[in-house]
Amino acid sequence: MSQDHSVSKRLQSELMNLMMGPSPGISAFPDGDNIFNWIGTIQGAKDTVYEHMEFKMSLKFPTDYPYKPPTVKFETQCFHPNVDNNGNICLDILKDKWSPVYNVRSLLISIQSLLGEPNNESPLNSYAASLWSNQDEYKKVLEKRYQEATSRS
Amino acid sequence: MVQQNNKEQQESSLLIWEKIVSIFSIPSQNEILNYKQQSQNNIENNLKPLFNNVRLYKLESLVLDWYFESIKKYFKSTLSNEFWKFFNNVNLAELDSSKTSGRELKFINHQFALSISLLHKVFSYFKFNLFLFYELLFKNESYNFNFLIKKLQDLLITNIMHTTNQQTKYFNTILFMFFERDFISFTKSFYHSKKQILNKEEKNDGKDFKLKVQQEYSDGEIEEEEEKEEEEEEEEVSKSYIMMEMSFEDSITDINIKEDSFMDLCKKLQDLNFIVISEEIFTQILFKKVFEYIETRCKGVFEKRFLKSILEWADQVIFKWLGMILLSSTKNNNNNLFDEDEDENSLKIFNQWKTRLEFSIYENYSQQRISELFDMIVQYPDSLPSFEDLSICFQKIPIEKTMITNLKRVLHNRLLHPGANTSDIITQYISTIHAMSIIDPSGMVMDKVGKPIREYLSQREDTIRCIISSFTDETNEIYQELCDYDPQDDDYLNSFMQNGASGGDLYVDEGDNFSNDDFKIWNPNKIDGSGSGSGSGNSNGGNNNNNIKKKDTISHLVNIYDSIDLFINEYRSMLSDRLLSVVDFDLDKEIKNVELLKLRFGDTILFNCEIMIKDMADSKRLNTQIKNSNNELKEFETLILSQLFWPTLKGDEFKYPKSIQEKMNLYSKEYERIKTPRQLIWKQHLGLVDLDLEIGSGNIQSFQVSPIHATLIMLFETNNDNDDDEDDEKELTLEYLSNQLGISKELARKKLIFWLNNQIIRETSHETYQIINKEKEEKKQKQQQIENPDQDIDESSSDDEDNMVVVEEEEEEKSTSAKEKEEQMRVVESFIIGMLINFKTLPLERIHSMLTMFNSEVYTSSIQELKAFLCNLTNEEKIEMVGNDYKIKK
Repeated sequence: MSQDHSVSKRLQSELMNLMMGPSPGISAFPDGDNIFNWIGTIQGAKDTVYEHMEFKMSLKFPTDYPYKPPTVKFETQCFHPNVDNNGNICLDILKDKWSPVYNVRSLLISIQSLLGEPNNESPLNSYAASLWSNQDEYKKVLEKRYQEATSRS
Repeated sequence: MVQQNNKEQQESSLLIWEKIVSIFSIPSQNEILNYKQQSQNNIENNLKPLFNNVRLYKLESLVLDWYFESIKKYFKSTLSNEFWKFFNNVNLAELDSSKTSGRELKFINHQFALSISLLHKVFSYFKFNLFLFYELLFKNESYNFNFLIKKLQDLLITNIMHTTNQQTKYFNTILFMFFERDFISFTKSFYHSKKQILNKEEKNDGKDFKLKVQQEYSDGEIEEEEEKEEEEEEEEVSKSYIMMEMSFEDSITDINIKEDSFMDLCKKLQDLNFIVISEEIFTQILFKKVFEYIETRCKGVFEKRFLKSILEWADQVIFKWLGMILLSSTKNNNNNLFDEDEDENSLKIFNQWKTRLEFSIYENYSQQRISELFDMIVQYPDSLPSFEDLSICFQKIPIEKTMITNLKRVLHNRLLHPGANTSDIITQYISTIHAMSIIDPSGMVMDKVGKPIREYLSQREDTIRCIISSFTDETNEIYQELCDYDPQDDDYLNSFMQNGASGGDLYVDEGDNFSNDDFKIWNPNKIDGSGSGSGSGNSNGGNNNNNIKKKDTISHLVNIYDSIDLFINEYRSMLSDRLLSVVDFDLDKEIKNVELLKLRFGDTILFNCEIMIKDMADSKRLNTQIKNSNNELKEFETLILSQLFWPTLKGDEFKYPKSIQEKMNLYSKEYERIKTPRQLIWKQHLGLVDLDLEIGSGNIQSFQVSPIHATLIMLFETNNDNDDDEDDEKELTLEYLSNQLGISKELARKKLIFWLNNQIIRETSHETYQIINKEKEEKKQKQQQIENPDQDIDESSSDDEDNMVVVEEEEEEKSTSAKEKEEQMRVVESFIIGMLINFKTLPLERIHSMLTMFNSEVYTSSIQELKAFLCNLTNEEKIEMVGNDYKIKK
């Protein structure tokens, strides 16, 4: 209980932090009544194929946050070498490289930069990984997928 | 009736009956009046045997009934007429004590006395006969003579005075007028005798005594020169007390209805049992007199204590008079033939009335005062005596409720409205606190009365500012209290602050008998807590009584707001303003202030302010050090503020002139060398510049201006002093000026107004400015052969008019609380934006609930306030409304 309380306090202060000093292209806010579930928004960075695209995320914080990383998924389907069809992300800091010094902001920035710089060594989406080298072609497929994803929702 | 009686007794009983009737039949009026008591002989010889026979034949009750019946008849048919005859010449229907002339009144009263005499004589006659009946017939039985008398009295009253409603009314009026007039005479004679004593004393003792007495009865100015004057004076004295129109013919000798005759009359009335039925009437007069007396003497006069003298007056006038009426029979004890308990009874009645009247004095006085509470508070502390009086009433009778409601209402009507200055409201609030602590040391009344004031004050933006300035203003009493504060009472203070009401150990001044309550055990939850607890006799010392008030005042003020931080923040920003804007501030005074506040509110909370003051002293030292190391920096006086401890200093940033900026950089370097790793950040908008302006040659004007004004005028500076005089001064456009300073055109225009108003520069054409060089203009004018110097002045003054139109607007200072609110709303805004980014669209209720949930520390608005705020954001085109939902405007 007390742990829950300190976690929600930490999340509160992260929220305040994020609200008062927003970083361009990323944002997040608790989803509904539970401060342990957030929705995030990431815009594709400038000069990448993802520019002008906006992806919704879901962030679920464990009760032992920040000692354990939150579970982060794409809610908007994202065509990306390190994101699978269910929105799961393959990112080291979300797994074994997680450290309590990370926070919602740094996490979202990492994911934002992952969009433009995928790790093609260990792809979840091998088709996307194979297509990455051909940026024009990649962009065509990406835009088509993005259209499908956003019109669906 | 008789014939139907027992046949055996018929004959002899008839005889007896006839005898009785012949002896006791009602005689003529004259006979009654001149009636002499029957001799004992006659009784023994004639009546006794007769009555023995009556008893023998058991005719007692018959005889008695018959006698009462005939008395009744007589009363109804004869005596009633006789009685009302006395008032034949009086228009009873229009009788009114306030309108009837003194002469008529005198007549009526005279007639009244006569009529009562008559009644009394008749009454005595019957009374004696009844006594015979009693003695001879019922003596041995358990028959009470008082019962017979009572019956006689009732017959008298019902058949003479109370035959018709109208007669009842008339009789009451007559009684009322009689008593009232007698009361007036009585008071007059009372003051007359006072006066006589006074005169005697005066002659004997000289002035000292006179002064003393004069103070006591200071309504009348007593002069001693001539007897006549004195008499007139006397008339005035009594007039002012009794408030009755009295014609001058009532000179003192004649108004003096002899007490004896009055007492005699009262005794008669008592015998007739009229006193009992007229109690209503004379007490009504007394209540009225008490009310009038209090109103005349006390209304609007708050600088004197009255209660004691009113009670004295009541004792000497009211109760004496009452005693004359009610106790008249007791005084002539030897005449009282029959009843012993009568005395006791009338004494009981007297005491009852005395208590009631005393009560009514307290009641009237407190009512009078309560209706004037607001004015009394305004005049506090001059009105202190009346508050002390009121506090006595507060102990005696339950007036809290009326007092609270009345005070609340009058404060609401007269004080808590937009027309009143905040400082006035605070002053009044403080006076109220002081005044109420006199009346009710427990603070219960103040707690209730103060609530609406506190609530109202907390709505006003400048309240904190006013309070803080009262904390620091040496002439203010609050400042004095702060100075007198004794930190040893800290324990008390803490408990006080926590409870918001009195707790802790309080001691009562033994001298003040009104504060003997045990408010130590006072319970704040007791809503109607009466002030009259049991005195605990807890009177260890008198001094602490004052401390209670002091603590009250400051705590009451601080309690307007939830936390003391607000005050300290405001104090800090005011301190900062003072330190930064005033050059020759009195640092010692500020130090003293901070120390006083520290004593009162604790060290930690004033830590920042201490640092601020320390910065001032430190800067001076550092300045000298830096100036000594570099000669170039001589003209700088720098204040070095520790950023963390000062309030945020906001202001317009602008570019300094290069030459100055260079020196400032130099200074910074010196500082950083001495104080590594600290850095200097210049607050450019703060500070003062001593400026000498030389326009033309030798014409020097001195100014003390803000840096931005100085920088502005420096742009007009010309370097070619000695070059061609023919060249006009620089003409600079607003555009240029604002670019040079790096500020908006609007701000530049505002700042220019200062120089325009000082006639240093002028607007030559639209948004183009130039230095006014009078020297050159004069020269030009001379060249144009215009020699009249007046014209020059005319010109410039016409210029003046154009410029005067615009006045530099000082931005209204917002109090810290307002700034805080603004800051809070900025946070709320970012939360709303953050929400809308992630949720795309949200309805009002959802925004409200999420803000309440995730931003509870800052967000305190109601849903209506939020709606208004969202509406503002919509107007600023930050968000838009689609249907019922809000979304980010793209």
